[in-house]
Amino acid sequence: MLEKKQIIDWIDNFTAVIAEKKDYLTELDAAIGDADHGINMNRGFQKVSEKLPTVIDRDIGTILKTVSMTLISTVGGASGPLYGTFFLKASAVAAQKEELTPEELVQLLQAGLEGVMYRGKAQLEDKTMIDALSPAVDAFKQSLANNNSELEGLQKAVDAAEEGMKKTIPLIARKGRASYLGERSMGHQDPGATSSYLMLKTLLESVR
Amino acid sequence: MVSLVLVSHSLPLAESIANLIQHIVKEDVNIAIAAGVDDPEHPWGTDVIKIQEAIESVYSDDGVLVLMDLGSAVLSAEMALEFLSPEQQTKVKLCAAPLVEGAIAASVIAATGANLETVITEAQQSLTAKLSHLEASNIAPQAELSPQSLTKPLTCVLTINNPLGLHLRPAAQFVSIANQFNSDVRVKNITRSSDFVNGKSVNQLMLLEVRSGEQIEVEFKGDDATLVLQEIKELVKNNFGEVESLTTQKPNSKQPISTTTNNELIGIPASPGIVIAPVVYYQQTLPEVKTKNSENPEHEWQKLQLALQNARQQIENLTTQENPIFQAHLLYLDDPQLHTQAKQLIFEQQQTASYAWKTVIEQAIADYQNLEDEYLQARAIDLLDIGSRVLKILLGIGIIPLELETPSILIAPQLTPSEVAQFNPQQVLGICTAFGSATDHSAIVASLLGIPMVVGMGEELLEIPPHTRLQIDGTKGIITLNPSSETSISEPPQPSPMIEPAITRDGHEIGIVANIIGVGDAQKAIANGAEGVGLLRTEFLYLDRVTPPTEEEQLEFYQAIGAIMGERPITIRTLDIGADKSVDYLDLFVETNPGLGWRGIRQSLDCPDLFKTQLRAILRASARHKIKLMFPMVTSVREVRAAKQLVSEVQAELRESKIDFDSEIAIGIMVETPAAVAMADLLAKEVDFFSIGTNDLSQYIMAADRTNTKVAALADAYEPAVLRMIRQTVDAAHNAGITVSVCGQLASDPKAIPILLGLGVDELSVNPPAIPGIKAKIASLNRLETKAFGNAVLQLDSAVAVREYVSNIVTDIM
Ligand SMILES: Nc1ncnc2c1ncn2[C@@H]1O[C@H](COP(=O)(O)OP(=O)(O)OP(=O)(O)O)[C@@H](O)[C@H]1O
Ligand SMILES: [Mg+2]
Repeated sequence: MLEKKQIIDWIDNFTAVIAEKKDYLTELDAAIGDADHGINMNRGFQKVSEKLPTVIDRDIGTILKTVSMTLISTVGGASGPLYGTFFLKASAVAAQKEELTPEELVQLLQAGLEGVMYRGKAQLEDKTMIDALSPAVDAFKQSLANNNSELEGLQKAVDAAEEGMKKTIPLIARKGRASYLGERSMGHQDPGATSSYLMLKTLLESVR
Repeated sequence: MVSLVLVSHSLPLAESIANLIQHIVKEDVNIAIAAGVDDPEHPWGTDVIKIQEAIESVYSDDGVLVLMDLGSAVLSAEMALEFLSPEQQTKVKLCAAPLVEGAIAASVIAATGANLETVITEAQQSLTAKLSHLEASNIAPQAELSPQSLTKPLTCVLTINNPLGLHLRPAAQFVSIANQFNSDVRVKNITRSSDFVNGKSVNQLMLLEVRSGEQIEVEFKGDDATLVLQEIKELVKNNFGEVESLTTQKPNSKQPISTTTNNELIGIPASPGIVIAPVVYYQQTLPEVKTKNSENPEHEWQKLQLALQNARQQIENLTTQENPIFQAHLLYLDDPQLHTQAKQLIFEQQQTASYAWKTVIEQAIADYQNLEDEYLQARAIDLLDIGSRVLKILLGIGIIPLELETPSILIAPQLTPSEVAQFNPQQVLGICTAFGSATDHSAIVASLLGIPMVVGMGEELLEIPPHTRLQIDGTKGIITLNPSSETSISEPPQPSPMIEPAITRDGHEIGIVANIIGVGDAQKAIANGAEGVGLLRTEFLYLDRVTPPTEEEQLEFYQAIGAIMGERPITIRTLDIGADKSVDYLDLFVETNPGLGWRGIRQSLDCPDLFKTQLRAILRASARHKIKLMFPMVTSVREVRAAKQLVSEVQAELRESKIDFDSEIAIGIMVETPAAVAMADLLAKEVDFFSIGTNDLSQYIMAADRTNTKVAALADAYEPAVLRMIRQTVDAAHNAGITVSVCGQLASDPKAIPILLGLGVDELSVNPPAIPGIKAKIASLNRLETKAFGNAVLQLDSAVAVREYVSNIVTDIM
């Protein structure tokens, strides 16, 4: 069971992680994009941390929706609408909820993932955040289906995300700004997949 | 005048374009800018809310064209569009043209007062001049990624030559190919000068009513237009893989069946019996939807997506072999047209997912019914099928019972076991399906119900006109259309039931009860003289659905059977589903040995919620009907105690809620494992009755998998090993003062009756069609004599010897 408090911790901790890794993410983006992913994400989540206290007493759905709307209007890069849609779809699953069962958490991540896919129309191996998110959600689902605990499931998800993220290195980008660089994007890890991995890792740490 | 919105990562860039336009166009054009982000240190980016505000600031009913640069500009603009009001959304278009060229071309034409369509077309062609110029200077862009294909659609005109035109299968192939590519594909029927429709929608394509010899124009737009064009051309050229072409095909031979001379179709026999009756197509009816509106469109849309996904899963589970009808059903589920329409109703009119889906399906059905082509008209049935499948998932309801006006033979592509289980054998006299095999569960259910069935007749079956008189021979697997009047009309076999009890010649009464699965065969059981139900299987309540049946649903089911049985006892067996079935809400995993796996009481004890729901329903039914409760697959005393503990808990809960039930309800177990036989003396102290399931018991005793054809014959209930265990069970039961019933196949076999009586069995639970035969058999026997048979067979050394022995005594007595 995931309490609302842990969701709030997750967002808070992720904000801190993004601030800390801002330069790293931007560097990754410099190699294959326009050197702004860290800057974009940090701008968005700083704003989120200003807004969050105003909705802390509301249900999880409202909290995630606030994260979504804030990202949409402040991030500026592709990750704005993408993470915005992730949290928007996720918020629908958590509407009116004060806590989440492991199954609901899976549904929430699944809905978020589907949101990103709907918004960005990217597929696996297009070298995007999908490459981290999609295997993670699958692994989580599979693990729960095998009667593992939520924590074990999340650990599996994070492992899968990490593997997916690393697998973006040899890929050629087919979506987003990096796609304009074609073959030159090979050999570099995708910044969006990296931030997605960090997001899931932070979730695991916040639940533990 | 159409207004423009310029979206760019860079504010200076967008402002400069606006300047340039003013300079070129002279007239005033309404232009709004959404560019950059509010971050002085890093001002480049795009902002959804800014774009939405920019659109609203220049919005008029004439429309708005949004042009953007790259990357997030596209994603943000798409998202901004979703934030607009539904009326506005229809009049705001995103344009793929390059920003500078597109903006200038659009402004020039917008200033003339042209409408939105024209402005878009003009903007999209803005790159053509530059391209042709540079191509001329030999800097041709790479062929496969030609930006030309982005702006200018490729088109081709194709003649459809296959006999039936663009009917279901070709349309399905067309759509499957189109959907593999990014490009937009649009199709119009030139011969009938239709409008363009979406070439990725199987519905739209069929509704074009393209017949053999007619021409279509296909338009491809997108970065892989060339590729998809080639594939589609190829497909049409090869007549969609159909062998006959127009030239070799006689005109008007649309219904090959009705024109065949001998009027016979051959399929696979699945359930024996011969019957003549008119044909009806098995039609689902769309269930009623009560709630029309919802305040949470996002949630409704998700619900619909989920239901579509579940429906997809159901169909995939259903189709073990290539089945074009179900393949097409899958395409309907993915049909972008149906999705868009439903989405609009959900978001614009705040409809619930189920209401919107029903509306969309009803519309599509009406569209089909309005077509001239009879074949295409008939496809409405597919939409009905898929439509009701999704609706039932959305509404969480199971099968809707079938109501027929006259007793008929049913035709269907394929049926699920739970569908067949609902059929009333008085109404459904025979079943023919286009697909499926004799080993399908639905065939087994049909034979339990005594309904003749032929499966695997092929797609032609579905072309038989409704109401045709048909003879179905489920034993040979043949159906005959319009059988000649000389053909003796065999009425549905009407056994002359012996309503009197089954009493041996020396005055011993043997209880005869029935094995049933639902209301249909409950009636049949009574008509055939059953004195109650010895085994009500409940599996079919649970199959082919996404959520488990609710307590109320189950209660209704048990009460319906109770109503038919009146005072007679009903033994309800709790759920026994193994890994050979697929049930979404049970976490069944593929098991190498489903028969030895997670099923019956072991599973129920692991899923207490599911189990207690069933127990509650059964106990509630016991308030007004004479219910007995029975647990399957018992192997130990511990299991029985744990199950009884749960029964007590449920009883306490019911008592607390002041709900009536029979506190004296009889509790029994199936004896179908060697372990249960070995422990029978101790188990008998825990329960009120035993029921021996000879089918499973034989396979477990003989260690022979009934589904493995190499060893299935070993699992023979005539084996002395099995008979000895039956005797052991009976002795243990009688020592403890409880009764023993036999509910396996053996009890429905007249030849086995002398042995079963001889072994001391008190009651037989028989398949309804076999009851009269079994009763007659008992009346011919002398109980005392049978004792000798019972003892004798236990000394024999093989099933063969037992069979031989039995056939001899039979002739002696009769
Ligand atoms: N269409 C897409 N679908 C999924 N993920 C995408 C898509 N486009 C980009 N991404 C992800 O976004 C990351 C880049 O995010 P960032 O915030 O840097 O946006 P950007 O590409 O710089 O946006 P812009 O187009 O404004 O330059 C990529 O590394 C990739 O993982
Ligand atoms: Mg970037």
